Amino acid sequence: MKTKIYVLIAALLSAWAGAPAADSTPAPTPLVTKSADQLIRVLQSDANRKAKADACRELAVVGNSQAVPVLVGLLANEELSHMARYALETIPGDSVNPALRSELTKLQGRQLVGVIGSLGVRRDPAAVKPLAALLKNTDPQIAQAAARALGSIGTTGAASAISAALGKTAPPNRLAFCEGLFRCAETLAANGKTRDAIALYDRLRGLAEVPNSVRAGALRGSIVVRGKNGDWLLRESLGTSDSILFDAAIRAALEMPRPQVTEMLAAKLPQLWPEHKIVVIQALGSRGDFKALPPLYVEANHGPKSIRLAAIRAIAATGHSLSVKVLVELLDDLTVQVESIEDPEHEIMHAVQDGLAGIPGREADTAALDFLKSPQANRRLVGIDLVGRRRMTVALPGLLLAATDANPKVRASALQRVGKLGTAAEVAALIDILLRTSDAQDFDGLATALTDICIRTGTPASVTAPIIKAFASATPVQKAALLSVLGALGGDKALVAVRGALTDPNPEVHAAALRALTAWPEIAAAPDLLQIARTTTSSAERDLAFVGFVRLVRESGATADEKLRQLSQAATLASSPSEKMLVLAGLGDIPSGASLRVVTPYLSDPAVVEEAGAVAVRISEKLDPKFSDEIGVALNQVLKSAKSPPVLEAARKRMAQLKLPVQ
Amino acid sequence: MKRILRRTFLKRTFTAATGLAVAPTIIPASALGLGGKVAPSERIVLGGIGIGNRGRDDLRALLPERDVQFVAVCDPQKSRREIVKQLVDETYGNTDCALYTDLREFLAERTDIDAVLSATGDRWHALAAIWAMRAGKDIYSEKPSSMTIAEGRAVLETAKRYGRVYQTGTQRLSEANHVYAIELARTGRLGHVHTAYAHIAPWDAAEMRHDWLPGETEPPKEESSWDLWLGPCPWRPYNPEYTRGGWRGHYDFHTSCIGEWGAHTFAQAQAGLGLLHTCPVHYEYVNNISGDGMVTRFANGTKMILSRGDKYWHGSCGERFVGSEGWAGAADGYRKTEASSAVLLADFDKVVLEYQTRTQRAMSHTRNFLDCVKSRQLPVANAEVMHRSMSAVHAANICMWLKRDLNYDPVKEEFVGDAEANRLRSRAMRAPFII
Repeated sequence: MKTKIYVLIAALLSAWAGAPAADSTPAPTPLVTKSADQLIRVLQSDANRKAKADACRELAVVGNSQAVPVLVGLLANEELSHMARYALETIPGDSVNPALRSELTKLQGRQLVGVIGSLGVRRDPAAVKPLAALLKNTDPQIAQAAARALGSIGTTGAASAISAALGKTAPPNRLAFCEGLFRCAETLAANGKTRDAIALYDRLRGLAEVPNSVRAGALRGSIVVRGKNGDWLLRESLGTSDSILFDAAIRAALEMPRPQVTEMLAAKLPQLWPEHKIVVIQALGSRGDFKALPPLYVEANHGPKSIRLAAIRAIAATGHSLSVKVLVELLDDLTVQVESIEDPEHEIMHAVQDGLAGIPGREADTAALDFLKSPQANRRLVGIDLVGRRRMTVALPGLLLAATDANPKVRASALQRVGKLGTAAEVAALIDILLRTSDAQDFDGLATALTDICIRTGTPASVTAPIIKAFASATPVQKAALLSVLGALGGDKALVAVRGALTDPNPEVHAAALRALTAWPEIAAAPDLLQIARTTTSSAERDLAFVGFVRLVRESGATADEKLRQLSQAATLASSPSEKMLVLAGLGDIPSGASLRVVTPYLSDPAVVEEAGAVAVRISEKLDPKFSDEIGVALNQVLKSAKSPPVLEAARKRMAQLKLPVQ
Repeated sequence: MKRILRRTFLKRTFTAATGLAVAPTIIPASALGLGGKVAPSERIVLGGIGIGNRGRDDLRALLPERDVQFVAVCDPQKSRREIVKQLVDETYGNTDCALYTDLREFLAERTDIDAVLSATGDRWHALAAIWAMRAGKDIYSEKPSSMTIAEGRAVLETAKRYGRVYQTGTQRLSEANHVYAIELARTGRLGHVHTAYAHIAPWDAAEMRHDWLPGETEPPKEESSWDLWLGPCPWRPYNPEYTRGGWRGHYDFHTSCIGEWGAHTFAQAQAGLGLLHTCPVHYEYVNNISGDGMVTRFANGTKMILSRGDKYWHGSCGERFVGSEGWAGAADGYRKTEASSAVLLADFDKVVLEYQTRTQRAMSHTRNFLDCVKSRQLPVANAEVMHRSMSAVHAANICMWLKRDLNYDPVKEEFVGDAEANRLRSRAMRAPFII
């Protein structure tokens, strides 16, 4: 229903978006509406601010050198300075940069900050000198903008200028100056000037009293730009007690996939603080490098649980075939040690199992099968879990074998997995097991497995026929299990079989047949249930049949009239308040004048008057006003009999809506 | 050697560097064996920027996390600030949530904040992220996360530069239904995947409005600062409609119907194609208002096709992969991933478990962000993922605006042989709101 509503809304919205815009909402307009010459003339005219701003925006796309002097003339204009830059920043050619530079000595405030920024965007190397002069400007916004712009230009000259001014600048400017140096370092490194870049990062690294973000960025840059030659710095930083620098080192390591970095992280692991150790473990897991496995194995075996869990997850995340061996080894020990869910090691074992279940590939499949074949029940249980979660249909013969295991936990677990993995091909084997078993718990497991297979594969017939066939040779308790499967599956042939079982002299079989009918998925069983409710002498059977009948009617796809007819039949049988409430609930699903008439007598029944009142209101709210006569009778009765304030209020509200008189 | 824990370190550095912004980082509480309890000193201290309706959804996901302490919100609109404060204070049973109007003051003063949630309108996402990361904050930034290709590049560079954790709000990358569809495509279960469909929003158009709403008297600055609201965008007269969501559809503020959902679905499609490190190289113009049906092609020939409406989905924000052996897709409102055959759907739990095992990622976008704040790993929707998928959004928009096919070089990040398209890769930012 929700989906249908969405589709409707989406369709309406689509239609709206595709339709011409409403008068009050201007339609989208093209990006460019005029030629460059026309746009320049707009700027030279006495057009208003909006027209000139639009002209600038379009000149950003089509403007040329002829537009430059006109735009530059607007840079001092408080209203249009930004839009002039908007156009100028993207105009190609050599005319823009000198024009912008020439404004550096003329402008101030926001206009100057903007032009400085534009020179940075355009990476004008000739602007280094005038921008360097602005680093000393007493307006922090101007000095900071100059530092960032110089950083974007990124030449050695720009870097030198910022570097020279850094020590003297006011503290609030320091972050922007460092930002400028970072940008320079990045450009220099990209242009192969690695030594210059390293020098800058080292300068930044050596600064005192700078924000932590600068310390972190400087260390990260120093390590990454040095490449292999920076391994010493990474190693040193991993051992720091300073969490800012440690985090920066980890980020640097993430950028370097070299195996040597894995080895370094692994080697450092035993020496780290616990809070740093877990971060390195996670980093090792993300590298996909088998060299991380030995130290991770060590961490998975000893120490605080949180570290062991992280190590196990990291081993699995590595995804290497050797990860499987490591996890199997861990699991081998744990399956011996862990006997119950209360065991402190249970969570660890569970994590190892999760890891093995989540590693794709043949090695893990083989490991899962090995566990399944183990002589130890605990290990077989692990194997069943693994082959199930790994969706290994190849393991079905092994699972069927485990379904006959001497250990009841193994049997139950195996049957559950057969139900999730099996196909019609497993049905015969399951029935065969069922006909050989006598354990009550196994019957449940077998019935569930058969039902699961059928429902999942959508092939009830593949089960119905062999079950009916097996029925002949089954013991009463086996028949009961088979009947529960038939009850979940439904179908004409199954119904015939269940009807037959109803007449079985064995009370266990008879009761199972009735339970099967009450669970029936199709309306076809309704007449049988109604008949039982009418005729049985057993009150327990009558209750079961009654509840089953009402449920089937409510859940069926029958027409409202047909449902009303059947519920009216149930109403004649309903004697207890709970049964009447069931009928009323069903009637509440049917918004018709007829259903309201069936409800009305219950308004005089003190045992269910409140429920009947609520249902009468519910129906009347959904009912077309043409039924106002019936609604009036019912709701007036509600006002007289019911006590529940919400029901009374809702009844009055509906009557007011329909202008019905209160009698 | 004496350990320097986060708060101790913070205090010391702050004292030494009076007047400077200092930014702490996190020591993972889980490493301390604290189980379900997280000591106040070890919580991720979180702040908010521009939190409206969508942001409050994010906030409601973050507030219950036991290792989060939300302490302050910054918004130029007083009414929005106060709604967030009420929500936070009611959650914590105190009145501690602090209020800020100007992002620059907020970032400079709140050196105690580790990470921020940013949920402004499109126009502020990139700049807020850059400023926050420069100030040492990790950031969860709502989408669409950039207004231009240049902004996206600047976000990516800043995240790398300062080693910050950045997650964009493409939360479907952390939802099992989408992850399953993505993994079916990525692992070859659909055979050779030749096409991905990406859903675009059913409202608005690709072409944008350039009109101004009628100017009205600006409210007092303490109620709503129009200058701050506009931020880096071109000035226009105040009209309250913009601040109530009416900014959508305007060229200066919005990334069009393509960006509205494409910010999500392009990333979803590219994830399944294994192409999150790049973006399409070719964009075919379609003569309609929305870009519906636009075929984009990656360098390896794989197509990503923009699609509007219910041709491929019966929900919203969907992706669909079509391979030689079947199709699979997901969208909001799906109970489960959908595929061309039941066989393809059988391995749902297994495939999602394999994904989680391999990536160590939670099936919760906000949780994934918090985990990465602690582990320093890259979140699922990291800055590179954002920049590459948003580059495709911007290129598709530019294709529609110029009404011609475009070729794009994702390495040089420039259009091939189209000077006008290249001039649309960036927009001058209004001072002083510049990168």
